[in-house]
Amino acid sequence: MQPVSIAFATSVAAAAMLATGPVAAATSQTDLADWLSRAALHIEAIHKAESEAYSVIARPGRIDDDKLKTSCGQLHDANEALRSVMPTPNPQLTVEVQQAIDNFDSASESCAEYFGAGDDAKLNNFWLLSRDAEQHLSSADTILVGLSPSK
Amino acid sequence: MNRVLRATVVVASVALLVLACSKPSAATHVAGPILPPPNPSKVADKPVEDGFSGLVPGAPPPTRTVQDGDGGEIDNLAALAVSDIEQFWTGAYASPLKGKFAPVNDLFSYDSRYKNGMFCAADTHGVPNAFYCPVKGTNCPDDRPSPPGECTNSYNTIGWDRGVLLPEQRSSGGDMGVVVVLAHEYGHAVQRMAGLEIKDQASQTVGEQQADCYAGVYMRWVADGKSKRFKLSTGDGLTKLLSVMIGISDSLVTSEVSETMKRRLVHGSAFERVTAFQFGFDDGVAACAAIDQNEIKQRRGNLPKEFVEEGQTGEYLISPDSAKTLIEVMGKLFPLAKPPQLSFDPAFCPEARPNPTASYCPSTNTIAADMPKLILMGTSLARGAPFQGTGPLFGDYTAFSVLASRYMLAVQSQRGGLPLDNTNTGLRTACLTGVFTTKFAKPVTVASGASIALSGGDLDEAVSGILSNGQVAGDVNGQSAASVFARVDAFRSGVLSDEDTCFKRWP
Repeated sequence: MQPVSIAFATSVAAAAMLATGPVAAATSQTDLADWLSRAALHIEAIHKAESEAYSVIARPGRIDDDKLKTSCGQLHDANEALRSVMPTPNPQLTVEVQQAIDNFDSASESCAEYFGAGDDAKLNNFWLLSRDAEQHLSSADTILVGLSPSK
Repeated sequence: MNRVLRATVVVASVALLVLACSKPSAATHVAGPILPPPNPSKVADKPVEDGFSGLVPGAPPPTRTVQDGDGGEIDNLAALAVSDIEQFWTGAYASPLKGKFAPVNDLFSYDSRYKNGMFCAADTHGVPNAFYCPVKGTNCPDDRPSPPGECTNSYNTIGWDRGVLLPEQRSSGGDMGVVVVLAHEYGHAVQRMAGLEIKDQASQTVGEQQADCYAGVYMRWVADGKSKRFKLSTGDGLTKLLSVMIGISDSLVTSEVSETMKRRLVHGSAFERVTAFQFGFDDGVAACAAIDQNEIKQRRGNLPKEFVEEGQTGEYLISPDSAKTLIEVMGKLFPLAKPPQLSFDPAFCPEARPNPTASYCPSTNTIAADMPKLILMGTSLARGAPFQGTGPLFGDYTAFSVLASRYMLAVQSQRGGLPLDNTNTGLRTACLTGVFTTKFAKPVTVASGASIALSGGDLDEAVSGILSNGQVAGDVNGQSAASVFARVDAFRSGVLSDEDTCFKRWP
């Protein structure tokens, strides 16, 4: 299949909206869709890294340090990639996503500290901080629903 | 959707959990009689009407006080809700429920953003949820600057997070988004009074579905105009309430990762939750009391249960490429003599009005997709996370199911002899989209060599869209049935049956 770039698709839709609807609303939705398309891959990578880290922690027996280190490293990298596409086109959305990024950042730091100290409390912090981060992403979803009339 | 690696075991599935019939309580399948469809313009024998839903101005004050509350608006709304729910159950608690109604002992409020709070002897920090506590333990204030009280007994109490959960619920679902959470938790208290014993995962599942059912019984009372505190419209009000209800997972009173994982599996699918709620709303207490392990097993049939997919988020990037891939998959599962063309242009269609996100034009045999709107509709930042927070439920299949439904209009168009522009068409379309959804539970290999299939949460994402925007159940002009129960029923009917059933039930 021939790839069709997002820019092409969105510019066509934007042109159509310009012909039929209010300019400001069309621009906002197109910008938002464009941002979501860029952020979605990083978000997916974050969720995958989190899932893998949790699986390692939850597995009975001794924690596999190498696997956990890899997962936490991946979480850090994906989070930095998400940071690179900030801000979002919407200020409220930016606040929630930025808070999620900050929490994921602290979570991966806690994970790294666990390897230095072997302190289980650091793992608990990792768990709490990433859960807080997820709550901010859920709040971001609530904002997205409000910004998407057809949702 | 999931990408499935070739030459590996198929890990994708779809949560196919409930039966297909107008009254979900009767088991059915293809071989059984085709039951008449529900009235598309009525809910519980009442015309579907939009209107005010929420706290009635000048409502009577709460009859209950809240422990460790902050005296704010959210705690007051929650106290009003529990007071109203108790007023209802005081009059409604009767046979076949065993025993007598007795109000819960206490109400407890916490803020999940603060540390060291406890509800039901479990940490409340980072736990945005609401609970019924059936055991003797402790409820303790959190680390706010001035903790106002000591720990108290948690036995037979209801608790909620006023800091994150209830404000989120109110933001998404209005006042009734908060009330339905507490109606569900109170449903657990009613179960205890009625003697349901929660002892294992299977009975927990029964417990969750009964609680949704009891919430439905109470909400019917509100929709009937009998509550002095709240109103619920049978149109947009009910729809919004169901949309937020399916976004809430089980009460997780634990921070143990493995335990949390396990408990996720107890949480019913959106289908199950809406069905259980509808049982109570339509048929009252007796229908809830009749929910047991056998009844659930019968409803689920032989279909696989939803599961957590390790290493997969289940979310597929929504893009022109993935839209093309979906249409290619549909062509394989529903081959047509003249496959419809996918266009990203908002082309003029002489006989149909454009739909909000994707349209089908019979005369040009074209599906026009508005990609930015589809991306907005189906891209969630939280979906696919191992522990999704409390918020709206939507994801890639919310958008892809809309696109699939437009292909199903092409299927109907080429079958011939069917009108494409009425309510029946919309419901038939939702049913056929359900048939596709089931078929797509198995991986399909496309021309690029990739293999894709639905993931565990996709069915819920489709149901969420059917509730919130109804586009999957839209006819060629995008018009859909007013009754939210009829829309979900049509989709469910397709998920659990076949094309013939769709054409027979909605001729």
